[in-house]
Amino acid sequence: MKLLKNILFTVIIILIGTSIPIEVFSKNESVKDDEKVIIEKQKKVLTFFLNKRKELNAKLTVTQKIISKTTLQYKFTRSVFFDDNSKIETITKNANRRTRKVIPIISDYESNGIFHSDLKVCYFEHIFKKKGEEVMLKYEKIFTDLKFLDPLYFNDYYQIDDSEIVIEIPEWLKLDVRELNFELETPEHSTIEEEKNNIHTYSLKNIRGAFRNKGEPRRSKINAHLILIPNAYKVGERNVKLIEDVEDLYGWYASLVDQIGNKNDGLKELVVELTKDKTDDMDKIKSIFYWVQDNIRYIAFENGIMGFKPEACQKVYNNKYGDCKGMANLTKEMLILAGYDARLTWLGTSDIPYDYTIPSLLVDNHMICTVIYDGKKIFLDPTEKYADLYNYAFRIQGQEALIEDGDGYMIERIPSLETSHNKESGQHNFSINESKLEGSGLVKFTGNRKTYILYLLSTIPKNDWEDFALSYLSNGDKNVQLNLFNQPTLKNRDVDVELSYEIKMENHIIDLGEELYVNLEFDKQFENFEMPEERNTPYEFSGKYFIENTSTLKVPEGWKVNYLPTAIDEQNEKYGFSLSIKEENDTVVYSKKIEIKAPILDLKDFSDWNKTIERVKEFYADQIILNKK
Amino acid sequence: MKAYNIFLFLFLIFPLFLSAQRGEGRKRAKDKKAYETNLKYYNDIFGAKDADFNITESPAEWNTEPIVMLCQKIHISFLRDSEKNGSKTKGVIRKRVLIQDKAALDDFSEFYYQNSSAFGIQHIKPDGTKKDIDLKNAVKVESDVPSFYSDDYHSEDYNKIAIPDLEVGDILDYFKVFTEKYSGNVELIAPISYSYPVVSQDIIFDVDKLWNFYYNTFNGAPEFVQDKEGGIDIKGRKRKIIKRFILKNTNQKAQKEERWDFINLTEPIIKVMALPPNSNFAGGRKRDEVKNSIEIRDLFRPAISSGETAGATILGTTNKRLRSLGVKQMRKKEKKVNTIYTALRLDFINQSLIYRAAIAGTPLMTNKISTTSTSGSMNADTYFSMKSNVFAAMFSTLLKKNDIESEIVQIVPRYFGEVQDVITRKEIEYGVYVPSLDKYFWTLNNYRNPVDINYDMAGATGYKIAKKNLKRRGNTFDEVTIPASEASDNISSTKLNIQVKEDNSFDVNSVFEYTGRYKESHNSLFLFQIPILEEDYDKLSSEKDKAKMNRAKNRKSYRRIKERNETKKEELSENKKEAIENWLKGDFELDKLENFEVLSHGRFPNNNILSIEANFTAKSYLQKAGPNLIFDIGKLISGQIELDNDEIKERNKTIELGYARTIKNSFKITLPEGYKAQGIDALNMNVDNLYAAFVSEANQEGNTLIINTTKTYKKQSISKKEWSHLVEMLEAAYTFSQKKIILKK
Repeated sequence: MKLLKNILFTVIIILIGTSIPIEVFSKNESVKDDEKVIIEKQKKVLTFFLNKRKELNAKLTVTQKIISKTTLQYKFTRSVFFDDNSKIETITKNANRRTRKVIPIISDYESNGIFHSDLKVCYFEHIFKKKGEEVMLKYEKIFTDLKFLDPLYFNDYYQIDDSEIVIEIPEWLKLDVRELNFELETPEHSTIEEEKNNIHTYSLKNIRGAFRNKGEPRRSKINAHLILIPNAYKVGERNVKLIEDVEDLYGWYASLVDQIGNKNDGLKELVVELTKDKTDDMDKIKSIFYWVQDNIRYIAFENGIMGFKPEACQKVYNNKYGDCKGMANLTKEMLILAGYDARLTWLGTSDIPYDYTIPSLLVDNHMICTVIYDGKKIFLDPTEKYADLYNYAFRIQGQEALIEDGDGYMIERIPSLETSHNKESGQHNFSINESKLEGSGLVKFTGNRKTYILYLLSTIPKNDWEDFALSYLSNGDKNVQLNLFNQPTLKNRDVDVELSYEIKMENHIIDLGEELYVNLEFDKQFENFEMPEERNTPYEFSGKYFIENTSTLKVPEGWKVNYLPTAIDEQNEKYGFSLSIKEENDTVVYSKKIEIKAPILDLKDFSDWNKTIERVKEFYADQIILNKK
Repeated sequence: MKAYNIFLFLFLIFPLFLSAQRGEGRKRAKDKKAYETNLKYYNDIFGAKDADFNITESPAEWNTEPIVMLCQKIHISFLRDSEKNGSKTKGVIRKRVLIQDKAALDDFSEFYYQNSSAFGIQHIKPDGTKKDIDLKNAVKVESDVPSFYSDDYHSEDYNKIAIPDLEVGDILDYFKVFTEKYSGNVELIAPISYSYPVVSQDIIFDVDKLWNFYYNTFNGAPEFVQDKEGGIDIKGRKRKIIKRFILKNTNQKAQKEERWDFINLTEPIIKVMALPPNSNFAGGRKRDEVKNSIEIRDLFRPAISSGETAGATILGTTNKRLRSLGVKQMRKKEKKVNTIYTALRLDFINQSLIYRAAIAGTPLMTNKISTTSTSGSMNADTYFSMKSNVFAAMFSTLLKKNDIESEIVQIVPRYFGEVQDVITRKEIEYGVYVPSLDKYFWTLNNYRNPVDINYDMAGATGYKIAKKNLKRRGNTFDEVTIPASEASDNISSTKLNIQVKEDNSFDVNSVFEYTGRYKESHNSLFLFQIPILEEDYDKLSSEKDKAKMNRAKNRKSYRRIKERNETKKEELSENKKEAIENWLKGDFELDKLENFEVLSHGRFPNNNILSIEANFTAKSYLQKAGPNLIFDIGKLISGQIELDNDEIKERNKTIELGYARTIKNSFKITLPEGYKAQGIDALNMNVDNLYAAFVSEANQEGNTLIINTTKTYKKQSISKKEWSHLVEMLEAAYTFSQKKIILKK
């Protein structure tokens, strides 16, 4: 499995389209960066051929007619990616009626989170000097192993007037063409049957530039594209089988697993040590799972076949580092030594919208370990630092998983947890002292929220933990002064993280003598989360949220409540905001419950969402008014 | 037949193949030998036998630090290669770092190192087990490298390696040997304190015969001590003829970062300048000069002389311009001097643009007379600044040609220290003093007005010498201190006239005015080259030249270019608008910028204020509060410094504000009909001490609310014991920024 390679592919696509303006205005250009040039016509032609060794290869020829829309000088750059299974050939550009070969700069691609991969960047550029200038750009990419064929998208970083994809399928090739997101964008499709080829032509017009907006879902989720799966081809009378279904896909994965060469003898002592005082099986499983999380650092190597083949358990153990495959394999071997039924498991994280009905490497980008205990499956992702058992990371929840099963495999969906499983809940009790709010607070983190907090703590020096906690809890607001009663700790991930503190808030009361205006809100979650009018792509949250807070205010002696803000209760299947302030026995009680139930806000949701946020904002600003009795 | 062909082919290529193999083999053998030589060099200096690196534990007081540098040694040799008759610099650095924290462990699991002549990492476990890290799986790095791995001594590409089996409590002991070929001289100002504590460190410089070496330490750093036993020559032999200087330092605490800090004045630092034999320095070819100070006066004449050479082309152009403008005949000295400055500025920008275009491969100026006749890129302002010695040489020459006496000043900017602290040439700046006007002039950039002060020089010390005496030897240098800047020299003023609309959003008319440092930092946001240069040409061209330009303007080719430039100007103007909109968003709850206009650019002496008017709409200041409105009025003065509790309690270093300054705000707010503001008394604040002030006044006249605030940093530098006075002002300003009032019907 090529860890994150598919995610990386999306990054690649971003970079393919990335152009950097030559001048210092880059941050503040009025003619927006993506509008500085447009692609009048884009054509991608995919053809197939047999190489000298009669192996199936494919050639993708991309031509783009690009026109400058700015009067200013503009550097248009293009980065095309390739790896051990592909190469870039013949880059040309035609400008001023001259066709010239372009000499690209080739370099290794470096990505955060991946230590080393075989991915390389082929970089070239064209400097547009005036408005209306045209250039015709052309390059060819050869795929030498068709398991790694790129998906074909119609869109680009820049706006495209007319985008065409042509696939020439020779009669000797059995090709599975999958049309994805064609219901969201609607490309036209026509087929011409020739004597030796079937030519499929897809076209889509007036396509906006991709990657425009913050929080934009990946292209695979919102843009029309094609995934091509060569099933088999003929060489003369010989039929060469490739990947036709998930069984073939698993077969290839399994062939790599067979080559791992695990030698788990050296792990025995450790497994005994970890499990010796435990009688409960779950405790034993936990001790192994947590040990791998804590002691094996995630360092990803995506070099050639090692992008798919797990590193042997003894190597990961000795190195104390590994990628998801290596960590999953080590976990599996340790659990087997402890006497459990543990299996390698392939899956695509929530970044990938496909399931195993598409038998392609594009479906997977992650590996975990599954333990089958008492007929039930427990999914262990040791890359998820500080996750407790059953607390599945949001990114794997609900995803289809391909699990080893003897000589075969099984497909199972990882359970989705309720939103309330990942909760941040707070309780604050205030009283008024000299125009300041004073009191105590308690915040509890559960589920993924807890994992997230523990992970954050682990990434900063221990000396800074208290400062971090204070800054997190006060939302970086200088008006909110805290004094922690307990220090955060990484010691036990099986219990919720709780932080309690003394709290003082300044500038939350306006004293008009006979009236006090009081505001108990200091987090203001989602206050600035309106979707801009011009936004034309959905918004994807980083996960599901559940935030709950109750704050109380003791009404001071001699004062009475004159006004309380009107409650809000907006609930639908994607989100819920419930905010209310009530008076109960000389105490004002402010309850807040915010729930993000679905990760994606679609364009059709924006209008209601913005109205909700506007109301939330008004509520946050509104005041409790106390009058002297 | 086919087999024969293959055989023939193999036969033909075999000798080539063999030869290539031999070549590769020789290269590998040579590389291996070189590596071993360098490894021996390392071992001779502080390799395995160096007992200082036996340390395995951190002092108890640093047990909670993420890492502790147990020992580090830096050895730099300035060498002569007698065989090649050349000079080179060779360095050895060894560090031994103890990892004490999980976060640090994750950082060090991916270890970075530079391409070096020899390099090695040893991983040491708490039980003393040692393992050399195999580097064969290292990968080249082109992206950002964590700052821990960079140093001031070595500039090479980086690699990274994953360290196996690394755990908290482990030690990484690593070294590198490297050579650097410096084109000229080595000028180094480096702290000996870091973001981590150091148990012991040595910094060693070996200086070969004939090399020149200037060195010293400052701010509590231990002194360099000369080792009588000498140092190591290019062949690794210990020789007394090689001068060795050692700085030994123990128990160096981690640097504590504080805002407003001139690190060269507060952290222990070393300053070193090494010049190869026969370098032209201080007016002569120097050999074998080793000193712990330099006499900056000796650098005066060479700097000005090289400035004269470098500026010769522009000088000729400006001289011609000044003659055509009849500057020599001007009666008023001040006008004359200012015209010379602005004319030199124009020709400098023009020349720089031509140069920039030349290196970009696109000819920029088709007609040198007119700036608007461009055919290449004028997308945006590129900031040009003239080297100060070139400016001083040219400006003083032009003044002399126009009968104005001047003196050249040689100054050490305050952030480097004082005259006696100078060790390197980069610590010195030059300017011009005109005694008859009692005024200093500082080097040019695109925007600098001759009447502007240079805040970097304000309060700095140095020397001045009369221009007429430059060529004579034995000049007298007068000591000089440049007047410190006053709070009134650097003003940022914001005037807002606000109309509250029915939907509680704002229509805002704003005027921003900047002088001094504030002007410098806002120039490039508001101004752009084409109109600036058009105005410069208009102001600084003779009638005859203007007529010439007008004739050129009638040419068809010119008109085409002009047309294109007009379109560019429109787009640039739109760009500016967006840039200004983004800038306004930083300070206000801006909804939309309607328009903006530069009222004055402050580049000519008659008006040194950069002034901009902008009309915009804003929202979110007024919100419903029960039946009334709550006005987030404090936000109008924009974000204020938020000191945290630790910062308030403790200040360890002198507060270097850079320049004294004043920030004024004036708001006139017309409230919706029938509304009255309540709670405005809380907006009246008055904190005023010797060092800083925050004064605010709020009044209500009918339905108009008038608020004025002034925040003043009265000094450019404040002693740490006066910190509380500055805190008092900063806290007041912050408190104001948090104030809200109620608007009641």
